[in-house]
Amino acid sequence: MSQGLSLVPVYLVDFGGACLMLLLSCTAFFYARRFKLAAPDSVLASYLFWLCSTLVFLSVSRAGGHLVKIFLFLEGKNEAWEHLAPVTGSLNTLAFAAVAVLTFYFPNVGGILARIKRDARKLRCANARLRKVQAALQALNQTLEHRVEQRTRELKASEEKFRNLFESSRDMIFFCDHDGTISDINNSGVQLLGCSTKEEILGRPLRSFFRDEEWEKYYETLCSEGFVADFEARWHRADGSYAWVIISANRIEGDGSKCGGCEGIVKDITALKEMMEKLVYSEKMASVGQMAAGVAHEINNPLGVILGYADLLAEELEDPAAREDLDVIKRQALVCKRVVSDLLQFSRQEEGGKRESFDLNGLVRDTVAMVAHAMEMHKIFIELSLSREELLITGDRSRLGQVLVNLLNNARDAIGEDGLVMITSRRLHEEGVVELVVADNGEGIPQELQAKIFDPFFTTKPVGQGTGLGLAVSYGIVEDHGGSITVESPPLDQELLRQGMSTAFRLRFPGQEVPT
Amino acid sequence: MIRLFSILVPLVLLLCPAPALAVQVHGGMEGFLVHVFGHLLFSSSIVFILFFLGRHPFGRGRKWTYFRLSMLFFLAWNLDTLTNHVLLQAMIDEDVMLKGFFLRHYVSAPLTPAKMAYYLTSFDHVLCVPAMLFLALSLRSFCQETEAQEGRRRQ
Repeated sequence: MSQGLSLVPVYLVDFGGACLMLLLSCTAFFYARRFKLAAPDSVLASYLFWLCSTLVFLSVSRAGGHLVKIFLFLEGKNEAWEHLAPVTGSLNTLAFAAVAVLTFYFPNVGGILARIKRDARKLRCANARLRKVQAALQALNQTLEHRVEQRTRELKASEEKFRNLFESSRDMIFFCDHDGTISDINNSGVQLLGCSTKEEILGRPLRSFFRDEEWEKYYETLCSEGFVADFEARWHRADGSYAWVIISANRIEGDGSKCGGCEGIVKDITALKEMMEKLVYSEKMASVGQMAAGVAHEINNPLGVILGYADLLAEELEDPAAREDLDVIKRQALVCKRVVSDLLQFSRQEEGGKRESFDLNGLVRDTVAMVAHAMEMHKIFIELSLSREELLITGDRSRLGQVLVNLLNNARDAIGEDGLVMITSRRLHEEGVVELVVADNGEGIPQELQAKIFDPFFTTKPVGQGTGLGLAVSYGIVEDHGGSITVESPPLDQELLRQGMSTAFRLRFPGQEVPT
Repeated sequence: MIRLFSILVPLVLLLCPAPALAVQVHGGMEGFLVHVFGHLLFSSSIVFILFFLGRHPFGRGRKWTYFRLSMLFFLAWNLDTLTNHVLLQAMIDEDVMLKGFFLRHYVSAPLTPAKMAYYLTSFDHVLCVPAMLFLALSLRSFCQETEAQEGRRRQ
């Protein structure tokens, strides 16, 4: 004690304290690690973990240093400790600095993290708002999709409806581009225009089916009015025939003032037109017949008297000049009588006559034999091409013979001198009719006259040579037999064309099957 | 506070320029001073964290009490050891005899207040062991509470 205070208690406390520090620091580190694992996102947990780690380091450095120091002192190696002390001291200093840095920065990190959390909260809020907006957008999108689907269905149904209407319409429906070319047409249109496929028509100008004057009128009306209603026209068909049509069309508005094209419906009225023409003709025939019957009746008797007295005068007159004058009177009176006879015949054609079943070929042969001589005088030869089978029809044989005579006389008049008449007959099994064609290589009938040749009193012959009743009477007789008579100039039959025929009259009668 | 500190230190260093040697010799008092500064830094950080926790308490309860106690003991330990280091530095070799076998190590007489203070402050483990004990207790409380919360959350 006289020396001073012994440091042994200090060493003992150091020894015990160092051991406890090691133990407690490890314990603290253990709990700090568990705390950090339990709360990995906690800044406090991170701070405490790293603080404990540093304190473990400090404890190991310091307590370890103390323990080593004691052991060195026990070994009497005090000088060794003097070398080791600065190392442990430096390590302790590092630990102090580390603890200080950690501690100073902990609130700062906390602040940063708090800001991050604040930002994260804002982000979460924004995210929630975005989710709401997204949900609303999704709902809107679904609604839109639903609407689009619904509209698409409606559009499809509408398209199918109009496509069906377009395709199945009995009338032609067409669409034209701005340049007047047909861009679409339905099947009825294809049939109306005499084509077999749609492709034959698409791209062709609509104008090509019109007659020029009708096209100009149609186009002008369409451009000026914007539409065409019940426009009647005659169209050229692809097979060379024609069709009467009624057109209703609208102009399609294009960009600005330009015409975008046209669309329209075309109704085929050819059959209606023909029927109406026939009706008109029948009415006309009936009127003319009545008038003719009256006129003939009134003129026939005076003519008989004139001719009778002319004969009496001819017996009494001896002056040659007077007899010549009387012959003129008789000739003109006979002309009148023939006219009257024709008129009577025309007026009586509805009355019908003796109906019997006979062979049309036989009638043709008999008639030809009767007129052949007269024809040959004009160097006109008749070529028969009759079917081998009998063509039985029912009717008035003499009246039908008259029809044939009329046609042959017309052929003779059309040929003039040196020509050929071809008569062909055949049975059309599919249609159940027999057909007789009388063709000649005469001068032909102009197109514009073809519609008039069956009119009564229409004739192209010089005055006095024809009454204009021959074909009208023939028409009436054929119609009375339930048949039809048409004229083709030039003939539609290619064989007749090859033979040089220019006109053909085609007669058709209801045929009877020949009993086997 | 930290921001002010982080600004002031570089500023002071910039205002007090000194010739820098490429290879500076670290001897003499430098080691001692660095160590003392370390203790001061440690102490100031503890003061700072205690002050910060006082202003912005993270929570209450035993865990925080243990933590504060731990920090206080660590602060006391720092001051104790700082004092011990300073006193030892002021003494001469004969004041503390560390030659020979360790049982003969002693603080030589006459025992002045400085020597007495040195002797007493040498029992620094009396402070740092409780500090570490309270820290361990605090962490145990943190750990248990957090794990309990996690368990409840999972349930």
